[in-house]
This record gives sequence, C-alpha cells and structure tokens, in this order.
Amino acid sequence: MTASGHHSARPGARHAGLAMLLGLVLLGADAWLRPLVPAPAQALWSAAKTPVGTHLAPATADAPQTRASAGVLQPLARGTIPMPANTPAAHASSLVALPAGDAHALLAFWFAGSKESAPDVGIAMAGFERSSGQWSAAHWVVTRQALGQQLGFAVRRIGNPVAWRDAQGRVHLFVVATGLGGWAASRIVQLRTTNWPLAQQQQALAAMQFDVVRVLPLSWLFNTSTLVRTAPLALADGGMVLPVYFELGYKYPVALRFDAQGALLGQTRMSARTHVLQPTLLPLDARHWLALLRDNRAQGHVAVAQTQDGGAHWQDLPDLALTNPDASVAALAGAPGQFWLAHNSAPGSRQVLDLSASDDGLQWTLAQRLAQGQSGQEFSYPALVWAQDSLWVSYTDQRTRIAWQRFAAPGARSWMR
Amino acid sequence: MATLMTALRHLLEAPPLLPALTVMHWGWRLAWALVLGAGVLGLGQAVGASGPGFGRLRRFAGPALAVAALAVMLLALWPGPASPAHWLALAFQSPSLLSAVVCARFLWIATAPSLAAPMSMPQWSNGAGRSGACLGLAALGSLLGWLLLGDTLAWWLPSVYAWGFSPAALMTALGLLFILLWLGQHSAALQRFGALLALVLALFVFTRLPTGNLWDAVLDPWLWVVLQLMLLRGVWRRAVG
Repeated sequence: MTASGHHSARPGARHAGLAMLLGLVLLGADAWLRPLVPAPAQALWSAAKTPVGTHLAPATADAPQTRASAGVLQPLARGTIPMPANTPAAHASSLVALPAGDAHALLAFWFAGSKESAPDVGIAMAGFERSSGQWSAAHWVVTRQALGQQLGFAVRRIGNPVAWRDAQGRVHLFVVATGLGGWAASRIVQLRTTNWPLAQQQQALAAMQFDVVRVLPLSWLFNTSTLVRTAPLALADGGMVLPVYFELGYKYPVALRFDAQGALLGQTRMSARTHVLQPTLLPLDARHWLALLRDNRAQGHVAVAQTQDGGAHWQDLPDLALTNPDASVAALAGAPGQFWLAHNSAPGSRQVLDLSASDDGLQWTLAQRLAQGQSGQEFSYPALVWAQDSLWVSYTDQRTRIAWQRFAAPGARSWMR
Repeated sequence: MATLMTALRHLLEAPPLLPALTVMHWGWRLAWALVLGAGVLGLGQAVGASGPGFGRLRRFAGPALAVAALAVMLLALWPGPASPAHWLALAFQSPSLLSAVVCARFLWIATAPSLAAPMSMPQWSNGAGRSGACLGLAALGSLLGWLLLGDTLAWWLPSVYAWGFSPAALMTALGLLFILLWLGQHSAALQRFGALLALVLALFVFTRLPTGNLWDAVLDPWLWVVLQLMLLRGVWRRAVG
C-alpha cells in the first residue's frame, strides 16, 4: 500500500469505527425504548370476557357441553337504534359490551350523514340503557373536521367505526378516514375516550369524548387503502386482534395485534388470496382461530383462513358452502362449540340477512332469518356482541338506519354458569 | 444460549415503537416545510439556470429566493387548513426523514453562500449524482421501493413493510451504514450519504418519525420515483458515453 493509501484508509476506518459506535448506541437506545416482546396471543370467549384472564382451553371432543344446544336462539327484542336528528343515511354499525356495573349494557357506533361518503358524515353513538331497556338518543362522537384538526392533516370522509374496550375500561374507536380518493384511499385512525369510564349516570354517555391516538401506519404506499370494518378478537392478556384489510385493486386481510392499553404490537397478513376482505375472527380454541371473509368475486362464497399459533401464521382453507354476495359477515364465538355467523345468504343481493350457527366454524346451519326484503332492499354489514347474557345483532337497514335484535342463547348461558 | 435466543427474539419480534401524535403532527409539518422550501429554491435554480437572467435584478435573486423559501416553510408550519402541509399530508402523509434531511442540506448549502454572495445560485448536484456510487445507492433505493410496493400490493407473502417496525431492520440499516463508510473511503458521495443516513437513523431512533417504520424513514414513494429517474438517467448517460 502506498503512503497516500495509508493516509486515505485511516479516515475510512475511522468513519467505519464511528458507524459501529453509533450503531451500538442506536441499537441500545432502541432496545431500551421499545416495549417488551409480548407473550403469544391467546383468545377469549366472547361470553366470558369477565373476568379477563379466563382463556380458552383447547377444544376437545367432550369438553363443550353446549354443542347439543348450538343454534338454539330465543328472540327477546328487536327494533331500530335512534338516529341523530335530520340524518337520513346510516351504515356499518359496531357494538361493544360494557361491564355489569355500567348504566348501559352496550354501545353502538355507526356512520351517518346525508348519504354515504358525504362530507357531513360523522360517527354516531347510542347506548342501550339497562334501567329503561331502551336505546339512548344518538350522539355525534367523531366528525371529520375534528379528526383532521387533531391529526394535523385534512380528512375527506370518515366511516366504518369499530369499537373496543381496553383493560382500563376505555373505549377505543377505529375509524376509516379517506385520503385523496374514495374508500380505497382510506387509512385507519385510532381514537380513545379521554373521560371514560365516568360516573354511572345515564347522561354520562353524552359527555363521552374521543381523542385521536394516531393514524395507524399500515402500508408504505402513502399509508393508503387499509380499512377496518369487523370486530376485534379479545385476548387473554387484555389486548385484542383487530382484523383489517387492504382494498386498492388487490384485496387481502391483515391482523393487527394490540396490547391491553391499545398499543399496536404488530401486523400479519392473513391470506395469500387477493379477492377476500373484511375478515371476522372466530376462536376455536386459545390458539386456533378461523377468519371468515367477504369474497369480492361474483358468485363468491364465504372464504376461510386459519391460524393455529395465535395469529403468528395463517393458512387459507377451502371456502364455506355459504354463498357470499360480496358482503360483510360477522362471526362470534359465544361458548365452546357455539358459534354464530351473521351473513347475507342470497346470491347476488343483500336482501336476505341470516344468522347461522355452527359447532366447528366450518359447517353452518340457519338459526334465524334476521331480515328479508324485496328486490333492491338491503340488510347488510352485521355486527354481533355478547352482552347481558344474550346475543345482540345490529345491521344496516336499507342504508337509512341501524336495526338491532337480541336473542337468548341458553347454551352460552349454561356455559357461563 | 438463552440470552442469545432472547436477543434474537427481540430483534425479530419486538413490538413497534410509534411516534406520539404531537411528534407526528409537528414532525410531518417540518418535513413538508423542508421539502417545500427546497422545492422553491430548486425551482428558482432551474429558472435561473435556463432563463435569460434577471439583468440588474439578478443580484437580488438569491436573497429573494431565500425569502420565498422561508415564507413557504413558515406557511407549511402554520397550523390548520391554511398550511399546504395540511393538504399534502391528506394525500401523501409525510416525506421520509431522508427526503427531509436531503432537502435541509440543500437549503443549508444553497442559502448560506447566497446570503453571503447574492449572485451565487444553489445547485442540487455537482455531477456526483452520475458517479457509480450514487447510481449504486439509487439502485438500492429503487430495489427497496419495489420490494415495499410489491408487499403493499400482495405480490409476495413475506411482509417487508411489517419488518420495518422491528429492530432487525434498524440493524440492517446500521450494517449498510457501516459498509458504506468502510467502502466509501475513496468516495465523497458515499461518505456524504453515509453521514446523511447516520443522521436519519439517529433521528428515527429518538423520534420514531415519520411513522415508527424504518422504511418510511429512509424511503418515501416520491423519493423512490426520483431515485429511479436518477438511475435511468445515469444508465442512459453511461450507455451513450
């Protein structure tokens, strides 16, 4: 090596040494700042969310004593949820159960306005009052203007609220907010109540306030085209798995895991297929879950993916026998071997909405016809929740209001006892 | 062995650390302010280089451009819909830290001498962009962008974007930085890029901007487009001699 080579090599080696030192400092700081690696995810039954920590035992042939009663539902009540004044359009409801001591048994969120995708669309909320057995008046909880102000950038349209209650009792709301374009240019914004739970008065509902936590970073391409629609799956650690989906041309589902406080822990793609969306999660046991999906193709069927390791890896399964007219479905595991699925069953339309039952998540039989209309009518986008020892269903009723029904499910109740 | 396994698990499975809303709010605005300010100066440079000149007014061009860039930057930082950042983020979210740092460097180089000597005009590139090292970096950025685009559009299954939240991605970037500085002892371009990358990685670790994902910090889709244009131009010029 020449003398000049010696001289020129020294700065390079010195820079590389500095880079190594910087690397150690940055890796150390990163490790110090980051949360700990979470334990493997384990699901909870919907009917057994209280107390948290009662996770599922692996399914066995003789364990679920309620299989004989799977699908037996007794209608208790039905109706429509009050709309905000002068609001003709409503769509995409989400239900969340509240604990026994709360004045409300459950909360419903949906998007409403002059029409879908209109600039005046906001997120409305109502609660089912335990004392009166009635729904409260609807309140606006999120507007796109308020969302944009807190985010620091404009939001064109909002929709598809999905609610979840964290380990501290705070309600989180995941809302689709569109960027430059239609629904396919959407992002998911996470909000959280700042003053909840409040005192146990009914009027507390009107005071419920949501603040933006953040826009969830889910894709590199301007963080665009990831949407949320279906309910999260509760986990034994107090966290949850939120099913979301990408829909810009290709449509595929993604599972997001959150901790007990609502912090994002990671994301996993759920299917290799690119025509399935809006996954709804069904735990067969603590680690073995199914995802049932809307099929975007004509003449489609309800699609299925499964994980056997608590959401770390997913595999596609053959479609269900149930037809799917490119419509959202909602599944719920009430108890071991007692699964429900709300779905549109007529090929090519959303005029029939059914509630089916299953003991394995793959073979389904009709349990209740929730709604049946004339040609052109629509009953769609169902949501299911277990609250007050009963099964609640809400769904869009002709895009003008949110309908609800409540059922007693003896099998799940006996399991709870 | 157990410690090694724990460290490996941390590298691969540690949860994301995301920026707080306030940090995102102001970090994104600052990034857009830098990009817009550099854009104004860059446009002025293009007009100044190709136009007929400003005659006697030319001596005021440098300071005028600097003031215009400053005004645009302040407007971008302004809260609410009056800010262009409010609308740019609607469509494109945030520039990458690398774009912001490159623009900040350009602004610094352009304005410092122009304030001292009004006749000088800023230059994006002094020809180093056509060097083999620069083309190699542009090719690397282009490849990363294609991997991320393919991941977004589900062309392949392993989620490259999700990997960007893990410490393993940071370790990879630090490894690249080490290699750049080791190999770049004879290349000013590599050393310059190495310094920028080191700054970006340090900013990322302590602010998590722009999203908490390392790939968003080092490459945004617009930068990716620019890198591909650079690459194509460089390859074309080499091909035609």
